[in-house]
Amino acid sequence: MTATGDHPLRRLDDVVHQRVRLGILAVLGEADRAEFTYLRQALELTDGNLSRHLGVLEQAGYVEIRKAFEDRKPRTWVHATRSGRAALASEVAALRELLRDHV
Amino acid sequence: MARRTQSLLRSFWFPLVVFGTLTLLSAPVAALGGGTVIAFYWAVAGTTGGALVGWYYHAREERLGVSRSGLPFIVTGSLLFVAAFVLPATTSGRLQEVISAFAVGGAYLIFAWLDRSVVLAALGMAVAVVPAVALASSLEHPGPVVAATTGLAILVTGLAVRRTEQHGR
Repeated sequence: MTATGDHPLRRLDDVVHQRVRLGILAVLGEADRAEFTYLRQALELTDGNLSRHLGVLEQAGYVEIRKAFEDRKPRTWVHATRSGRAALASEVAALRELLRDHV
Repeated sequence: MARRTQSLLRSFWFPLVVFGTLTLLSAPVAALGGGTVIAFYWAVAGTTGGALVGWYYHAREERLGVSRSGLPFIVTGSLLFVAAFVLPATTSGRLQEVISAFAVGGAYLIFAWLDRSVVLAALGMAVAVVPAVALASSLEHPGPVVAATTGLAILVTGLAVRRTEQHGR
């Protein structure tokens, strides 16, 4: 079966829908910014896995990554852009609609 | 995980303990000194308390590695600070002594809305009721009683929230 017209399946964004990226945006949706280490621990990921998915989100313009030295320690802060927050809201709305209509 | 982040970011026991203590300490100042003394007290205590709370949240967010925008809270706190000085200047008598407590209650209701917190909403309503009850009573100088009661209510709520937050983790 193929989704047609305005079916909620058509509104799911593949960049956001992937489980790790959805988790990243869900955390960032509640925060102004989060550190790489916080995201890694909260989502139980490895450094490499988190980096890869952050790269995909950054390329899509959904997150911004800033690296800084604080107290001589390197810290990487991530924050969701306006379009990232909008993409998350749209994804959640489409998922809600899908579940409401088909579960 | 989003809920965990949400609960980490919505920690508000510290400002309650700080401003509850400062409000409680303002009661003897209000009893012994006049309007100018209490205004001076709050000019010093308010800025010191605000700076302490700002430092606390900054240090906490740096330690946790997650933060949220403090701007709505800073704006509300600053408006309260201004209102606490302007409102008594526009009133007189018994109302002048307690009018700032209404502003404090209103500010807590805004904080409750920002934090989506039932506890802060209940505290805001309770703090706003105290001066109303004091005005309805026959107290000649309701200021110190209102300061002591609201200070105690804010402080006890802060300590109770701290206990709940610590047990919740």
